[in-house]
Parts: sequence; structure tokens; C-alpha cells
Amino acid sequence: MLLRLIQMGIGNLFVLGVTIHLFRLLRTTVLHLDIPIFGFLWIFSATLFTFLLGIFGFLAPVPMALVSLVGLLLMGLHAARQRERYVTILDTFRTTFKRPRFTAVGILLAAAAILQLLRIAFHVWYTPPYVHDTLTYHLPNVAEWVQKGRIHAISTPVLRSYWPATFEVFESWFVVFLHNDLLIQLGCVSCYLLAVTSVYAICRGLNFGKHLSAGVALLYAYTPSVAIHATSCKNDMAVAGMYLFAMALLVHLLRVGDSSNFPLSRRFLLIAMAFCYGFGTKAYAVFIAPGLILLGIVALAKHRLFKKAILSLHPKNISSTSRSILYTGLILGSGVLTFYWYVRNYIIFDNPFYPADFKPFGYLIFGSGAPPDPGTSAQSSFSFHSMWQNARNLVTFKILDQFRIYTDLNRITGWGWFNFACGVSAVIYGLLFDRRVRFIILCFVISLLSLLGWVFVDDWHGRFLHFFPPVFAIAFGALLMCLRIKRVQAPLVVLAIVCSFFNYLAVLNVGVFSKDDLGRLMELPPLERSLVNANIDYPWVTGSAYREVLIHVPENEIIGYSLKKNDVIYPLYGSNLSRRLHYLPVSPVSLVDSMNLHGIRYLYFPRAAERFIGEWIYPYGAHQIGVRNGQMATWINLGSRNHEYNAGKVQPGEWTHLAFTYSGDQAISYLNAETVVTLDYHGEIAFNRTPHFVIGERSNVTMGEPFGGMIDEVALFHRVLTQTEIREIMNRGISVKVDPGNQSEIRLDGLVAYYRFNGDTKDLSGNSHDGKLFGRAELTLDNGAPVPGAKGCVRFPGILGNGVDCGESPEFRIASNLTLMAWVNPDSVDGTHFVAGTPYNGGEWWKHSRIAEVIREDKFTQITRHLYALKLDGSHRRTGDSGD
Amino acid sequence: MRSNWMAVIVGLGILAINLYLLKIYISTQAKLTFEFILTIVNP
Repeated sequence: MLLRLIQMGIGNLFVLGVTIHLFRLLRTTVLHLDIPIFGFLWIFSATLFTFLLGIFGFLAPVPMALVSLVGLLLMGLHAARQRERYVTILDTFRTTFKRPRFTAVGILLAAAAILQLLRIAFHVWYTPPYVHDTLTYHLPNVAEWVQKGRIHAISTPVLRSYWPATFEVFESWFVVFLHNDLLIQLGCVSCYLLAVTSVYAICRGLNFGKHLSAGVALLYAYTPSVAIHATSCKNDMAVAGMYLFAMALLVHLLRVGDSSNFPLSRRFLLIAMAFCYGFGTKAYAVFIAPGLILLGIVALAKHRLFKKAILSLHPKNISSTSRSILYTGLILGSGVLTFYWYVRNYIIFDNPFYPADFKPFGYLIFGSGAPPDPGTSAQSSFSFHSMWQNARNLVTFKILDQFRIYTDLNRITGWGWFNFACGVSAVIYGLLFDRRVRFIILCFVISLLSLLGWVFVDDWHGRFLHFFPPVFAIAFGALLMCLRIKRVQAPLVVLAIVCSFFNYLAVLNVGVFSKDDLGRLMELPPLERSLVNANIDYPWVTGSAYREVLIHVPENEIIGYSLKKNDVIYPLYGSNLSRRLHYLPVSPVSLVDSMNLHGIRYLYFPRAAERFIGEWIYPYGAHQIGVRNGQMATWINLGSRNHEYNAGKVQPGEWTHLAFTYSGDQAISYLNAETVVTLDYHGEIAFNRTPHFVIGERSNVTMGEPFGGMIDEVALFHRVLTQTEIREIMNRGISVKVDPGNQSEIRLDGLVAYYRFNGDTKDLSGNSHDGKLFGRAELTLDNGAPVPGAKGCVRFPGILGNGVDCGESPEFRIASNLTLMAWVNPDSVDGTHFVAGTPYNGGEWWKHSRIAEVIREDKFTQITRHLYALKLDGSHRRTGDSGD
Repeated sequence: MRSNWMAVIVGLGILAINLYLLKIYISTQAKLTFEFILTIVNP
């Protein structure tokens, strides 16, 4: 541990050294701006350092400490040569902070700041990460990166893990040396302090006095939503910090104009860096930018600086070559921190904004065009309807905070007592009567409205609004300045203090931990504090359940897990992030194969009903055809047995006809109407619920690789067709009413569903099982199966989330006497590709947490098949045991 | 002198509005805040 602390010290010294070096070149000599600039540069340096080492696979204490040591030596040599410049900085600080004058107001403000910092320190030290979003998608990134020693796109069903993650890189800085998440909240705390000092700088820029500015900054710091997020591990505080930092720089420009100590090029550089950091953290940084852009334009116009601003961007006008190189380096660094995520997503998913679409004003530019999914996706476009509805909800409902203040800020703003009871009236007064703050309020409001127009009309976007509460505090400060008489000011100040005190109480323990929870956490050694070890249970995280898993699975075993897109997985890494996890997609076949391939003996299914474990091995109601490793694949599940077999040869880029029949006593697979396999199976296909017929991809779960290519002429019969009939259908298609020219002698009795995809997804059997395209599956009229009357087909892009959903129906419940057929033209035949059928369907699995320990040798030789499920109340239960 | 009186009137007016808003807020959040504090102190 001592060694790790030394490594951490060296790393931090290096980052501090880099920060001081950058600060020396970028500072303003205006103290109130220099404070947030220093803070921002520190955040930026730590993030960029972690990112660069992480991307090259050196995200580990030893290489980071070594690089830091070399860096420190080089900086030491440089500093020795330019000693006097560093001495000047130290002198500036020394003169600024020398002999502080102790006034009553000053002491009160300092006490208020210390009180809040004490609360924050308590939470950093004693409470583990607890917010649902962080446990589902922020921190698994951090855990995987730190465990593997490199920054990479992790394999996970939680699609939000692929959002931009610059802030998670910064959080990794606090984790990597200790290999523990004890100090991880310091990432959020840093951004919180940046936001608060930036509010102070904004006030000073508006000519507020020092005490008043500090008071305003504290009023913001005491805002419940902001204070609670200071230790949340969520990235929204980072976006707010960057926004307010940029605003402080722009307000100074508005008030003072250009100054020789802080030329425009430097100011723009810092603003660009802050914007990039915000955009690399969360894309909504762009949505809140309009207010800042307006402020910048007005500031430049006021001082007639447009021409100078443009000239200042030219490298020749930057004072020295070394400074030009530095600026270029910083811009490149910011660019890499920002655009890495978007470029990575573009390469992997063909969409830089994955998992969201990008469709400004309804024009789809990136993404699948699938219906947006609140919670895991974004609205992807601006809408005045959203803006109006969200603004209305905000002022009539959310601002009242009618529910307990908690980090998710669902249905509330969390702006608290002061902002509502004092801030609202101050903002109205400021807008009407105070020219000093009117324009600043307007800029905040424009940013707010822009944001509200870009997000869904839902209850969940309160946490995007941390940048906004300063408007209340600033307006209140301006109001106090207007009311010059102390006796008039006093009651308002007292009211603000009382309100802030209640704000403090509301977030005293971040709104979730009970006294017992806190007691158990405080009793644990610092490096072992976690929801798991403290047995803390919430509706969204059951610490005791995860505890059972970690006790049951030996430390050297990989925990395979399968979960939905929004389930919590982070606690399974353990507080020292040492547990190895491996995601296995839910699928009766590929899951088992994957387990064997990766040597995984333990599976974790959050919220899976015990029945699911059985279904995983014995999935009910599945009869499916597909393509697997160059062959036709067939799956059939008969009661308690799952059968699958591959036969024949399927070529990529060629139309091939697949057909499968099951009589109750015999299963036959046909490839181009030739029998490729006949197997004697007995029994009925059992269905535990209404079956769901899908084409191209199983809509509820993934299976192997997504199908890429074309599918046509899909038909399902409740009858066993003869080989002659199958050949006739293959050669001539099925005669149906809509296609009278194509007469055939095929008997149509027993036809349950039939899809020609001639420009639509209608079921031509007359049973009205019309299909619906989902994802990026699309109809095409350019190509079709080599059958008379086949004028088009449906094309699949070969990525997840695309198919034709033909719905649920009792008519698909065909236990025997079944024929399923389709024409396929796959782009690739490597791996497993589902074509059509009724896979078993979920919806009822995800109820209770379960872990299954699989002690099986081989599924297909069927020598031993023991399946154990561990109920998380501690009792073991054997759910499946088959010796056949 | 006139501006002083204006300041007093405006200040009192705003204080009155603030107290009214506080009353609205108390009706929703106060109970929740204090209930929660009670659960910490005496669960």
C-alpha cells in the first residue's frame, strides 16, 4: 500500500507540475479568473495524462509513476533554468493570500464553505458509488479500463457505456493508483469546485464585491441538486463546471474587453478546451452552448473586437513560437479527448452518436431511425414541442420539488429552498429592472430553453440543469446591491441563509443512506467500503445479492453475466476492482458455447426468475432456422430437450432456399429442396407463453451475429409439406390471392403466415400477421429470390437491432406438424445468424437475481448436465439435472 | 431620500413574495426533508 501511495504521490506531483507550467503560460493575473483557470488546467492535465497512457495500454500504477518521474525530472531541469518566472507566480499567490483580513462576514462565509466541504469529505471517504446510472454504465468503463490497463470499448449490453467518456477517464485517475474506488468521487468534487469558483468569477466580472461574490458562489454550492451531485460520480457536474468556466471568461470579456494580460487568443483557447471537455463528457454540452455563443458575440460586438478576434486566431499573432506550439498541442489534446469517442463509435457502429441517432429537424443523418428509447437514448433532434412542454413542466411542477431530493432528480429540479423562495423573485426583478444582470440571465435562459428543446419530454433531465441555478444566486446578489440600505438587505440575507441551511439538511446524507447503512459503512476498513460489503439494499441495487455472488464465486473465476441494457453490474467488480467479469449474450446456444470458449463456470443473471435458468437450457417454444458457419442451422426445442444441428452448405452472396419440417416424430431439413438431414425426434414443442414470430433478428435477445444480407419468401405452415411441395414452392412460389398470375398446385391449407416482401411486409396468408420492420431492416425492390413473382425482399445491415417483427399470436403455437421455410442470401456465413422462427420470448424472466453455477462437460455429447441455481436468500437449489 | 424609500418598498415587496413562495415550498418539501432527517436520527 505504501508503494501505491508513493506512486500516487509521484503521479499527482507530475500533474501538478504540468498544471503549474500551463498556468504560467495561460494565466490572466486577474485573481478571480486565475482560480478557476488553475482548477480547469489541473482537471484537463490529469484527464489528458490518464487518457494518453490509457489509450496506449499503460493505465497502471508502475508505468504511470515512471512516466511521471521522467516528466518531473525534465520539468525540474526546465524550472531550474527559468527559476525567476516560477518565483513570480509564487510571489503573486503570496501577496494575494498574505494577511487575510478577518471580518465577521468573511468568517461566516468561510465557515459555510467549510461546513459544505466537511459534508463532501465525509461522503467521499465513507460512502461508495451508489447512483444507478454510474453503476450501470459510467463505472463499469472505469473498472474495466483500470483492470485491463487500457482504455477500450468494453463488451456490454448496456449501450449507454458507449457514450463519450472523457469524465470517466478523469475518474480513472483517482482509481488507478490505489486500484480501489475509495477516492473516485473526487472527480466530481473537482468539477463541483470548478463550477463554484467559476460562479465567484462571474460575480466578480459583474463588479460584485468579494464577499457578495463569495456569498453568491456559496448559495450555488448549497443548491441541493448541485451539492448532491458533487459526490455522485455522475458526469453532469463536469458539463456544468465547463459551462460556468467558459461563462466566467466571457463575462470578463464583456465587462473589460480585451486586455494585454489576457489576450483574446488565450481566452478563446481556454473556452475551446472547456467546450471540448464538456462535449467529450456529454453531448448535451452542445445543447447548452447557445447562451454562451450569444454572450461571446455580444461581448465582441460591444468592444468592437470581431476583427481582432479573427486575427488573434492566426498563429502569427501568438506572441512566440513556443507558445504557438503549446497552443497547438492543447488544441490537439482537447480534440483527442473529445472526438476519440465519436470517431470510435463511427468506426464500430457506423454512428458517432451511438446509441442515439442524429436527426436534426427530422432528417436522419446517423443511427438506425428506430423509435427513440427514453433513458438509453436521446431525442436526437430539436423540437419546439419538447421545449414548450419541458419548460411548462419545469415552472409548474418540477421546480416545486414535490418528491424527496435524490441524485437522479426524477420529477424534480432539486434546486431547493433558496432558489425557489428567493431566487425566482430576484430573477424576475433582475429581468425587469437591473440592466447589469438582465443580459446574463437571458444567456442562461437561452441555454436552458435550447436544452429543453433537445431532450425528451420526460421526468429525467433535471440532472442536465446544474449549469442553471447560478442564475438565481447571481440575480439575488444583484438585487442585494440594488437595495443599498442594510436594514432592507438584512431580512433577505437571513431568509437566504435559512433556506440554504435547509438545503444543507436535505442533502446531508445524499438522500439514500439510513443511519444503519452509514454505521455499517463506517465500520468497514476504507479500502473495503462498498454497497456489497455493507449489505446495503435499494430497489435498484441489492448489495446483499451481489454479496452472495462474490462469496459464492471463487476469486480466480470469471463471472459470466447476462443482463438487460439498464442493469447494474459495477458492484460485482468488488471495491478493489479485482473481479473479472465477462458479458455473455442471452441465447440458448451461443451462451453455452461462449461459456465453454472462455472457461466460464459461473453465470450471473440479475433479476432473472428461477424459471429462466431452466429456459436457458430448455428454451420453450423455439423452432428456428438460420445459417451457421457456412451451413444451414436448425434449432428445435422439445419440452425438456434442446436440439440443434447444422447441415448442407450455404454460400455468401447466393440465394439459398432453407426449409424445415417437424412432424412430431421426425425432423427434416431441406436445402434448396434437397434433404440434408433427417432426425428421429419425438414429442411436442412446448410453449410457456404466446409465441412470437420474427425474421432476421430476435427482437428480444441477441443470438450469435446479427444477420446481414437478404431474406425473402418466408412461410410458416401448420402442416408437414412433402419434399415435392417444398420443391414446387421453391421453384414457383406460393399462389395467393394477391398474385393471381402465379398459379400453382400447392395446397395452401395450413398456411399460417407468408411474406413475399414485394414492397411491403404484409402477411399474404390471409391471417393478418403483418410484419413490422424494426431497426435498419429495409425493403428493397432491386433484388428478390429467384422465384416467379418475387419482386423484392428485405435487406438487413448485419448489425444488432434490425429485423421484421411479425408479432405474437396463438396461431404460431405449432407444437408439431410444422413447416418453416425461407430464401436467404447472406452477406456472411461465418458465425451464427438467425433467419426466421419463433424463439423463446422473454418479458417474464427478469424478476429476481440469480446466479447459476454450471458444472457441465459438454452440452452436445450430453454426458453430464447439472445445472445449479443459487437462490440469493442463501439456499442452493438444483434446477436441472439430466444424465441422458 | 426618494430612492431610499423606493429601496425599502421594493425590498419589502420582494421579501413578501419570497415568504409566499417559501410557504408554497414548505408545503411540499419541508415534510419530506424533516421526515428524512428523522429517519437518520431515529430510524
